[in-house]
Amino acid sequence: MKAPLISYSVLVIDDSPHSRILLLRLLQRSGLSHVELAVNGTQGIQRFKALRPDIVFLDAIMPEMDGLTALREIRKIDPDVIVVVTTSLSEKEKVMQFKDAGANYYLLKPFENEKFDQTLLKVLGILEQRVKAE
Amino acid sequence: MECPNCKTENDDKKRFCTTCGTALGALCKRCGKIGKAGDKFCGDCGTPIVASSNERLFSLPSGPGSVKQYAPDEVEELISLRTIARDEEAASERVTQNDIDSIFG
Repeated sequence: MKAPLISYSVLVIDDSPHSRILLLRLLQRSGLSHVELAVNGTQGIQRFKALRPDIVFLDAIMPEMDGLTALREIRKIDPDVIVVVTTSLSEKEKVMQFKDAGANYYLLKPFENEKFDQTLLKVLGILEQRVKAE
Repeated sequence: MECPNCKTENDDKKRFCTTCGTALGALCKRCGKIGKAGDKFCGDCGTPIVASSNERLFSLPSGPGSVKQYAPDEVEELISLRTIARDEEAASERVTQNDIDSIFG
């Protein structure tokens, strides 16, 4: 995958070490080197306020603060940041809750690298459009 | 999937037995996922499975000779519980990644 011209910052919020490392590697492989990690929603909100990332990858089931609560908090801080939910929750009700809370994309775990790349390309496309519009 | 309680053969997508209401697998109290019978931990959120895999939403008589008489208010309650179980099943409809992509556009 072609590296983006602009170095966007990414925050990964996931309580699973395996998922965090996987996402980190996939993002770095795609040319995104500015990646911060958080292990739950509470830490994620703290890191979000400090980093103000362009993209957030957000798990749903986490200790202390779950993904849905974290998403609602993130949207209060930044209505425009792109949030990609990455979770194994496939109940339609849950999916709709995340959509209604403002998620931009929803990736079902386990996902294939190709699906991740497709989603990331869409995200980068949106960000590049925003830069051009400024 | 065969019901561990009444042996009815249920569709694999069913979460509860359509005959007796028994959970068809290990019910996770945290995230609501149902794993395989005998699972000790939820495969989705890691929560220990403390409930019996034979947990039922409600009890109904089973087998010949076990007919029980229900009072009208008990019948109403059973119908209500069945409705709740059906609604819960509808609410937990699973979707695929393609469905999700359509939802998110």
